[in-house]
Amino acid sequence: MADAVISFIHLGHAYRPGRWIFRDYSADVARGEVFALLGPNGRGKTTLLKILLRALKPAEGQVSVKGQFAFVPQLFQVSFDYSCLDMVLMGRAKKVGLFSQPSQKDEETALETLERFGMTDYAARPFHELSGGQRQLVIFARALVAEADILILDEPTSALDLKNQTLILDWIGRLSRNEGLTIVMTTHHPHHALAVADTALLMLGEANHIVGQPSEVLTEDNLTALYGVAMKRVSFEHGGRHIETLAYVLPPIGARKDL
Amino acid sequence: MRNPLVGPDLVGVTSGAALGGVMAMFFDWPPVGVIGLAFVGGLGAMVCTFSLAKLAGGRSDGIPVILAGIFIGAFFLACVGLVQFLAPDWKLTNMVYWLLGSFVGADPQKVYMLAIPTLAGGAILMCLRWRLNLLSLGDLDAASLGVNVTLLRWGLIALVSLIVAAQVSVSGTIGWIGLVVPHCARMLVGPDHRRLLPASALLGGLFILGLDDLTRSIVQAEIPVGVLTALFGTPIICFLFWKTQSKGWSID
Repeated sequence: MADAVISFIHLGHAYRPGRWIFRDYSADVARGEVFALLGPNGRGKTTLLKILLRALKPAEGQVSVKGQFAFVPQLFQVSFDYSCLDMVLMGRAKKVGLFSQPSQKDEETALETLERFGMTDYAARPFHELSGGQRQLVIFARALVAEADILILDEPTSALDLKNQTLILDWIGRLSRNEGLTIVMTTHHPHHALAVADTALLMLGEANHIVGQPSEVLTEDNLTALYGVAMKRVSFEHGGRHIETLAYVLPPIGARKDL
Repeated sequence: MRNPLVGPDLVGVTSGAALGGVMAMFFDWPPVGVIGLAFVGGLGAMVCTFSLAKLAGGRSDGIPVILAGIFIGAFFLACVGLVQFLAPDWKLTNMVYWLLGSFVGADPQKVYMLAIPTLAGGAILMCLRWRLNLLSLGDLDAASLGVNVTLLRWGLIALVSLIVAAQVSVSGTIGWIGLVVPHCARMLVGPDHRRLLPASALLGGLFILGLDDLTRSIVQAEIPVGVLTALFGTPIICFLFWKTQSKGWSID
């Protein structure tokens, strides 16, 4: 793909020789699209993210990332009670010289970005006092002040309640469609990928993956094969909109013979 | 190190510098040699601590570092004991008094010896003080923000080792300051290292001078300041430990 900002070909990684986590994965991520990575625990979603972030060298294959990226981790572990403004200001690290301090302009940029997310009132508040969704927004703001073209999100909604999940998904959509940011996200929620992603990659197995539009690849069969849980596509009308979503079918409680 | 419990004493650098210092005294090296060997000892101890932590936990911060620092520090202190055992009596007395930490031998030459590495190292640290905020994030998080985490961390370790070595070489091992004072400074000015680093430097100097002056005014005898910092520092860190325990050391 000519305008791919991220491209990986025959990508594979093994933490120990012969013990492949995944291999021969290939995909392109176009500029401005939302690309969702789906797979069960241990399939290598975070490993693939680390390779894209250049924190890990792949065991095989090639990766090309064109542009500045910013990372939004799944868990934020902050050792000290920095304010929200301090957290956002850290996003200016690439713009501030090694031996320099952030300037007044950097602080103003950070404050303006917080304002865009409606978080101005929280600028002086300690980051750890915020709710999960609010913390995500602060980290999104941090990614924006870094003037990144590419956001890499590791399970952005996993620790959030339903209301905050919809808030974050809304912002993912806005940042992609209105700001032109390219977003790569891992998720355990295929219905989130269906709602917001332009492309989905299903990590089905060591050397087995599917890439395509969510409406085409997030089929009941593919998702059942991916998660080992029966999945159903559900569609209904709500508020004048046609909604397509996914539901998983819980087996009767106590019926599992493998436990 | 993303952990407020980490200070020079707990990661072995003070013990390493102490070993370097006593070895230099054992071999009758000049004062510059004492600084040099103390620096090598301090840096060597830090390298051992972080290497052991990485072997054990694969990380260069957190609890593995503290535990490794305790083990390495204990080993280096045992080596200090061995050097003292082998030293003749007249050298031993000097070593013991030096190890207790004292300002009694302060003179202009020692001030110059201390000033050059401390001011040079301190100036670089001051320039890097905002970057210290970034090291509080996870390694992957900080790296994604463009920070060369490994280089920055090791650079800071080398600078701290240099300053600690210089201090240990002129005044012996004065512990607890590096652990207690930053906590107190953080309570006054907050966690942003742009304010915290200069505040800690000022507060540390004031604290130790004030403690030494106060004790000299009250007591006729020369109590080694290293003893005083331990006597006063331990209850303070216990209080701070209790006070912050409700939040925990790591906030997430």
